[in-house]
Amino acid sequence: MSGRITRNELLLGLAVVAVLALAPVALNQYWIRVVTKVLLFAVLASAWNLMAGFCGYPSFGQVAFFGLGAYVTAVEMVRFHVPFVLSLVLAIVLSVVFAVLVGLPVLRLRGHYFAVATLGIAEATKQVVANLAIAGGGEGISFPLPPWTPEVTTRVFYYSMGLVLAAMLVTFRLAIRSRPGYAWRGIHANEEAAQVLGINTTFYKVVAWAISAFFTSLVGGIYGYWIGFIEPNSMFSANVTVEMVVVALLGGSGTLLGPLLGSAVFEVLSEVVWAHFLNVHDLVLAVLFGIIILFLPGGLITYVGRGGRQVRRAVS
Amino acid sequence: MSEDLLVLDGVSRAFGGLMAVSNVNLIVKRGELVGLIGPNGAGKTTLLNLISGLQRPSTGQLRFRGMVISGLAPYRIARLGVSRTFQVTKPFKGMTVLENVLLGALFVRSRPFSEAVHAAEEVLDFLLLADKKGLPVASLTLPDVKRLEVAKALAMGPELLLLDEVMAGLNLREVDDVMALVAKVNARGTTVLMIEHVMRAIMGICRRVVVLQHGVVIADGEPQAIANDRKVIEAYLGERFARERKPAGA
Repeated sequence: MSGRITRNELLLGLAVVAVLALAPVALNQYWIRVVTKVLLFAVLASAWNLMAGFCGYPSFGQVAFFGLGAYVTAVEMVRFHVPFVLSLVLAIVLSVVFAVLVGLPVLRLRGHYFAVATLGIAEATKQVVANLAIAGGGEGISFPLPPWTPEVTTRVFYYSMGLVLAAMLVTFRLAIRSRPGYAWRGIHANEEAAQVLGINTTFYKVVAWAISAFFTSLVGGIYGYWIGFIEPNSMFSANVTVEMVVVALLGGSGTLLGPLLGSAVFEVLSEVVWAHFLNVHDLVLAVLFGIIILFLPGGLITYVGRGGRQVRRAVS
Repeated sequence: MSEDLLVLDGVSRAFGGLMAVSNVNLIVKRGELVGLIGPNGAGKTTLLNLISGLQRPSTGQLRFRGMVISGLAPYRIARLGVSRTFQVTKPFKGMTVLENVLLGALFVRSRPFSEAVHAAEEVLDFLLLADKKGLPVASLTLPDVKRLEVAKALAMGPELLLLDEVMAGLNLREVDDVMALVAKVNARGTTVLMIEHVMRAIMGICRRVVVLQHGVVIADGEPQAIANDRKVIEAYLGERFARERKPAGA
């Protein structure tokens, strides 16, 4: 139960990394982009899951970090000609500082109050950005074109997302099975009981929120550069938040791998539906949301776990 | 000097116009096993909340080991050596018994993770819960949940243990078990302040009993003296009963 990564986990991880690393050889440009989006939402949903699934604080303001990541990167690259990687680093730092400053007061709220407050933060951030001339205001801002051929560009973003996801998984896995993870689960189960056991609940909540903001803004910056043009309504869209929530719940919140599974299923499904019936995409999202809440409270990962146990039992 | 582990100096707590705890002066000495009794709504749990920092006193000062603790965050007070249980038990659902107790051992002092696990296992041994350490808490019986509540608190290695009705809802045999357990904890050097309605337990193991009514300490002394105290009888059974009853032994 201590934090060390087991041999099985390492082997499974390496196998997945190998498959994903070689995947672009077999996939065309379109499917590489689809898988990139799967990886993107796996990160976003996992970051949401860290707050909601582990700490019990469902944040509906994650797009604030997503949008900030993209916007700060864009402004630096376009207005100050800072290289992409350096812009991204500064964007992450700014987002994490923002998360800590906002988190200290907001994380005192619980339940619905917290959810609504975070929703407000996202909306307020959007309004501020939409009125900043340096950020292009309501018209948005275009990133410089990446210096590679389209084929290489697609792969660069694919591998970047994969790298972020891998780094995030290792971070989460280590944190979950050590002090922070136990503190988060204690906070989730009962915050008062956690406090009297000597857990500095405010500190651990802010840490989770900061880590969540770190990865959300990181993929925000990469995503922005990838799509090339960003505007407030799309980067700070409540739909993006809803999508991370649905993805996390579909896969299984409160688990490490649930959001990954959720993202793979949801994004591929979404891509198939999107391609054929553009207008019912939102309807499918809503119906799926209802089905999850009614019939799959633990998410798809519970079935994977159950199936795995049955297989093991059949083998032994 | 160092004898006084916990000192409450004119501590009051008001909820709106209601004085839940009113000007309480109380000293708990190191090594004592003190019972805290009183009718429902007397302010016992509020007093425990004030000591553990979950609520702040309106006026007055609390000192622990000579340090002022009123106004400190609960986790700081916990790290100084005060641990408590809750009347409404608060096991961490979705975790195993061992993980629950581990939470108590992990945060009070900085030590390697494996040492904290070891400490948690020791406490489970001590409380005869070792064979249930892998079970999810949801599968425990009430007596075991109560034990787990004590185990979490003990895993912190506290100097002062605050127990809030750990015997409520238990049958006679189970009460005996917990009594023996509390006495054993106290014998190992942990000071205990326990709220209890099971009088047999209070009379059986406490050498000192404090009685609270309407937030005021109305009696403080040895169990026998408390049982015959006119004010205490009034508080529990009404004024008329106290008037009609002949003092025992007089």
